[in-house]
Amino acid sequence: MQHRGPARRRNGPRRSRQLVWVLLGTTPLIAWHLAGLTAPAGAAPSPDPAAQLFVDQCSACHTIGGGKLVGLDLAEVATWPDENLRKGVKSMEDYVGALSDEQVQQLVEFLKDPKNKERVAAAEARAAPAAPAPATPAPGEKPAVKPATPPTKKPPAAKPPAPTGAGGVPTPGAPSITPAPTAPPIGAAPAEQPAPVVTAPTAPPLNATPLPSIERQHALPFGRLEIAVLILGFVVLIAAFIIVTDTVIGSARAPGGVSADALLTARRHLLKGMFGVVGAAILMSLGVFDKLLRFYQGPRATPDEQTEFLDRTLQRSRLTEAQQALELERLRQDYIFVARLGDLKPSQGLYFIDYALRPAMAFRGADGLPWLLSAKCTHLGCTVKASVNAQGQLGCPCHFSLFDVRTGVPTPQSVAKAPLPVLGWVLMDDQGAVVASRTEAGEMNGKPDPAKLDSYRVFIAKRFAEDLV
Amino acid sequence: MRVGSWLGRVGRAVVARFPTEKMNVRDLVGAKEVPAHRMSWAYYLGGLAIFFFLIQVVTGLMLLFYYKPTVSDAYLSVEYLTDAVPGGALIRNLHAWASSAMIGTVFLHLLTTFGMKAFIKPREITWLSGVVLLLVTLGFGFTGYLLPWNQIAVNATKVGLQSVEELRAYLPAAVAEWPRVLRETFQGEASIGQATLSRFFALHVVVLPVIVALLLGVHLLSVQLHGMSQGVDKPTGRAERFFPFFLMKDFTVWGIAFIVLFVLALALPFDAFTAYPLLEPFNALGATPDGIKPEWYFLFMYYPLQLVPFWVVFVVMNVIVLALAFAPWLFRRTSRKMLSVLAAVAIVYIVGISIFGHQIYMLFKGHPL
Repeated sequence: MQHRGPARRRNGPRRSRQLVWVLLGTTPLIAWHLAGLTAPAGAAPSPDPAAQLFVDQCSACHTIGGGKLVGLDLAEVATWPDENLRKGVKSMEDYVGALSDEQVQQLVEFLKDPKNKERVAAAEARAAPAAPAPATPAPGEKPAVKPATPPTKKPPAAKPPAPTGAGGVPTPGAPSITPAPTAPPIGAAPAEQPAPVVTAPTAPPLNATPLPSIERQHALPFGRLEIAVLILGFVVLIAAFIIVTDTVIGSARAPGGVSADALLTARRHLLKGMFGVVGAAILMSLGVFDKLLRFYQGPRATPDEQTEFLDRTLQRSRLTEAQQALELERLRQDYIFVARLGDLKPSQGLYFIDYALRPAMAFRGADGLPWLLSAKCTHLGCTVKASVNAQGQLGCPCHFSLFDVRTGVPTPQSVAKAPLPVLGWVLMDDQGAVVASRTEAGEMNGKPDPAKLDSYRVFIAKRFAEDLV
Repeated sequence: MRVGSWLGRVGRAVVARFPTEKMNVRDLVGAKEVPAHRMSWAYYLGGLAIFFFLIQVVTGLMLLFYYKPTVSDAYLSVEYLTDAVPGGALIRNLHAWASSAMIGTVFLHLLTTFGMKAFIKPREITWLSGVVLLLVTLGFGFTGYLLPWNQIAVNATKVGLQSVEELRAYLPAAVAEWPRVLRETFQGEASIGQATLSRFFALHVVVLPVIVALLLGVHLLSVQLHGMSQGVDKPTGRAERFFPFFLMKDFTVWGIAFIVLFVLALALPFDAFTAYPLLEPFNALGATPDGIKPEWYFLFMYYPLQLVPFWVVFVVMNVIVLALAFAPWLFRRTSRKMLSVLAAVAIVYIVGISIFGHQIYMLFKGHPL
């Protein structure tokens, strides 16, 4: 305090008012941003819930008369008996979460309705104004797969109108669990998917029984209005606080020292304040103690809740177990079975898990021999789609990188810069004798018999994997 | 000899920063004054950061009763805590909101202190421990983010750690593998798994808290020994006694902060800002969902990483950290006005890129991230 300035009182309240204006001015900006993050709480109920349900839950994998995607073209199911169709719809719960009986019935009636195509179009048109135009990829960057893949329909920044969850709870901000938003999770491939997951015969039946979805949706109980009100409330609080403290600063010491009077008043205020604080603290600690005790005690679950929780724990353990079995197998075995060569196709890859526990795909090369590529996108590690487009490219669903299927090299426009690694393979005949092999560098050993190609079995080999690392 | 005398000088300077004759209640508590001027509000920020840290300690301890740091159980235990345990959701939510509040406060505390030129002699040690505390706080955020073991947690951690490997392109062949070795050492195994979870858990609940406790001790002791810095070029000459006046106002601010935090934690799940598929349990063999992003307090580094070459971000970030560390000597002669402008620019940048980062990215790249 060497430079004791002139004892002028600064203009406190005016400055606080300026601050308040700044806060109030920035509030709409923040509210606007938050509003963009959350969808409206109560989306108006769709006039055609069945078609809406189809668009939200089914259309990522199925079309009606638009050809086969991941799942069946549902135009053909209109001829099925009701009971079979109901079972079929119900069996989709593994991918879309629980469906109520009412929803199943709605979907069955919808699928039998000859006008269902028009209803889908109408539902999509209704959804369109709510979601901004999908990000259009550059001309050369079209996703390899039909744009039924959710990423193009649902850019992360904008969410479609909130679908209604199973229990009729609005779920803004949390888009419904669309089946296989990017690529199907390995190990849970739907039965009718053209590219079933292949693991070695010794592996646990990871892909045989898709594990039921054990996750629940977390709903956001607030819409944008409430958030805005909340923020405004905070601003008012903060403003009030600033004004109050600013006036209280008057108790600050004047240059000549504190007057005895001011000190006395301040002491009295302090005592009163302390008294209030102690009282409040006692009251609060009673409440807090009650809550703490309950938290410490833990839940007293009903038998039903216990059953459900234990069931979920078991399912999670099984998943971990399956992963660990897969890992162990890759540590132990020198070869991992991929597929019969006859089952491989040039334009549709078969997913499998490589030695580094990354997804990979197997194709039939132009020379009739296997062609194995890593499916882990070299950009951020998403799983690349296994179907080849008309330009001979594989697309990554996350950021639209395109890779040449013959080399694994990405197109110049792609965000991924490094090529998908090529994997080596070994061909064995039915007796388990090695017929031929090729390293990831393309070095060929042995000569397969062209007549017997289809019957050979394709393996990946540990020795190649070690070279890779 | 020269090194010896230099070390001696540093040693004497450090000793001089801890004057034993001042270590008594009268000097530490009674004589401390808080200058009153237009930047006085900034003197609340340090205390506020401590308050949020205390909340983190208490709620963190409570979370420890239920959290299981294993790959198969982590997600379920968090879900159990949230859905079944009485008050569990509130405690978890308090922890999440307070972490953001603490990091925000610490950022602001650093920048205001910088703008007020509070780091010059004799407060170098206060400042240095503060800079390290900021980094440790960010370390808390990074390690804590992984623990719920959901898709966004694991994938964002993966991407974050992986970015170290981009250094590889700029290194000579002899040391090109070092970033990978460094990353794998840090995460305990080749890809993120149980070893990583165990390590991050240990760091988050034991190692970092101990470091914070030690540094905070040094930081607070120096603050009390040297008092508040003047903060402005032209002191008003008015000041307020720290004890009991300013301390009571400190507590008032804490009370308001707690009410705000409590209402937020009660009403708005922190998870609600993340789309659902990202909150599913991590699936090592499945596809990566869309929208993997770090927590907001890393966005100021994340978006530049997506927009400009890696080395630029790397160099700039290192220069900033070094400049902060050496600020007491680098900016000794810089005016407060200049420093305030720098701090204001930093605040505008951090706020702008954190809120509008996505729009800025779209502007330059034209396609969604």
